[in-house]
Amino acid sequence: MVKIGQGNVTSGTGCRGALRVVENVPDVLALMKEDLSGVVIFTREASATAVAPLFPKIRGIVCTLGGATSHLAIVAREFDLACIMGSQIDLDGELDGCVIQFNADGEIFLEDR
Amino acid sequence: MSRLSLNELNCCIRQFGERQKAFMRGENRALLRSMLFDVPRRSSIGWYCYYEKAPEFLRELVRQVSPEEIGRGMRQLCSRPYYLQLSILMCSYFGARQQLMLDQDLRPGQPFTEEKIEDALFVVDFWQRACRTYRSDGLLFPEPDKQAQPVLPREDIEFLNSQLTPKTVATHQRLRRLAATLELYVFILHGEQRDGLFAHGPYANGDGSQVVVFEFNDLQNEFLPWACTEARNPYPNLALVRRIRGVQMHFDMFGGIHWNVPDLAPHVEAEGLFTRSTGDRIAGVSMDEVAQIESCAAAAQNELFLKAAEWSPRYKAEYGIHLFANHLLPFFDLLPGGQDWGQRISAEFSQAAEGVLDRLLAQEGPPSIWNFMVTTDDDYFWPVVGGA
Repeated sequence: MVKIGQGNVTSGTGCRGALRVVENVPDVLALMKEDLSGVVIFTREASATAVAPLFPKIRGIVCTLGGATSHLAIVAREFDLACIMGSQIDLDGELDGCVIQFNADGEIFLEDR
Repeated sequence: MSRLSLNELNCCIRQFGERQKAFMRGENRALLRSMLFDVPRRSSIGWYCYYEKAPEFLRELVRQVSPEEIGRGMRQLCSRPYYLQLSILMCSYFGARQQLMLDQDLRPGQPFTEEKIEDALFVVDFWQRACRTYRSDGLLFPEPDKQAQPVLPREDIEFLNSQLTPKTVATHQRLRRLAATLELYVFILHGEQRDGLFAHGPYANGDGSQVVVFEFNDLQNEFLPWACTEARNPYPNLALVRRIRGVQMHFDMFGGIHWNVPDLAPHVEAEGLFTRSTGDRIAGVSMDEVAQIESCAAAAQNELFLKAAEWSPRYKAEYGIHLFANHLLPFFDLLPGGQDWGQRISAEFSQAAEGVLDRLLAQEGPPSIWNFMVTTDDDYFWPVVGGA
C-alpha cells in the first residue's frame, strides 16, 4: 500500500473501494447502470447535484475541493457515506479503477491498480 | 418606510458583507462549480435581476404589509419565505452592485455614479426590519457567541417537543435517509442552490436538552419551469424535529447548520416528522409514510437530474432568472390572493436579464466578482459614497 494523498474526512471513518472518476454527466449516466456497491467516486467538484443519482449506491467519495460545509459533504454525511474533501492526490497516471482506501485521519492509500 | 442614515446603511452593508465573506471563504463557496449548472453565471444573472427589479416589487409589497408584519408572518413551521430569502435579498442586491463597481474599475471609497441610494436604503431597511421581528432574538444574524437561529414561537416548540417519540436505531436511520433524499431533491430542484433547506434552533428545554428543527420546503413547487415531475412529493413541506443533548451547533446565514460532533445519532434523544398543512396547522407525519415519501423524492430527483442533464449551455445560466424569481415570489404569497405575482415577477426578471445574459455568456470565465470574492482583502460590498 502506498500513500498517495491527504484530505479532510467529513463523514465516516474511512473506507476502501474501487475508485471511479466522475468528470462529466456522461460519466454519471454510465455509472447509473452499474453495480456501485464497492465503488468510491472521485470528483473534482464539491457539488452534490452532479452526482445525485449515485449517492444511494456508492460506498464513499473522494473530492479534491471543498470541506465539511460543501453541498457534497453535507449530503454524503446524511447518506452515511464515507467522504473525504479537499483531497490532494499525488499519483501519476489513470486513477479510474484503482483500489484505494482512506482512513479517519484523511490519509489516502493506493492498494492496487 | 423609516429612513436610515448613510452611516447606518453602510454599517449594515459592511456587517452583512463580513458575514458573507466568512461564509463563502469557509466553504470555498466562490469556487463551487457543477457539471450540471453554470453556478457563477446563474447567480450573477439572478443577482442582477434582483438589483434591477426587487426594490420596486418590494415597495409594492410594503404598501400592503409592513416588513415587521412580514417578519411576524414568517414565524411558523416550514414558512416560505424563510431566513434564506432575507439573506438572498441582501446578497443579491449588493452582489450585483459590487459587480457593476468592479466593471467600472472602481476602488473602495470611490463614488459609484450609478448608485441607486434610495434602493439601497430601502433594501437594507426592509431586510433589517423583517429580520428583527422574524428572529426570536431580534438579531440580524446568528451571532458567533450565541450560535442560534431561533424563529419559532415558544408555544410551537413546546407542542413539537411534546409530540416527539424516543429515538430508536431503526427509526433514526429511516429518518436520516429520508432527510438525505429530501436534501438531494431540493438541491437538484434549486439547481445546486441551498434553497428549501432550513435548520433552526436550538430551542432550550431547560433540562440541558435542545430542540433543533430541520425543514424541507418548496417540495411541491409549480413555479420553476422544470419543477413538474411525474413523481410528486406527497407533502409541500416537512420538518424533522429532534431533541438533542450534548452538541454545540453553529447556524449560518443561508439556513445551514454545523455541529461539533462527528455523528449526531448518539446525541438524539427523540425525534419526529411534521408538516404544516393548509390552514397553517402543524400535523405529525407517521413513520408508515416515510418509505413512500422517500421513494417519491428519489424518483422526482432522478427525473430532475435527467432534465438538467439535457439543458443547453445557455440555459445552465439562464435558469438563474427563475431561480431568483422563486426567492422573491414567496413574500407575495403572504398577501391575500388575486394577482398572479409569479407571472409578473418572471416577466420583469426576464426583461431585466435581456442583454446581460448574452454578455455574461460571451465572457470567457465567470464574472469577475467570483474571483474578487476568493481573493479580495477588501470588504465584499463597498460602502455607499455621497449624500443620502
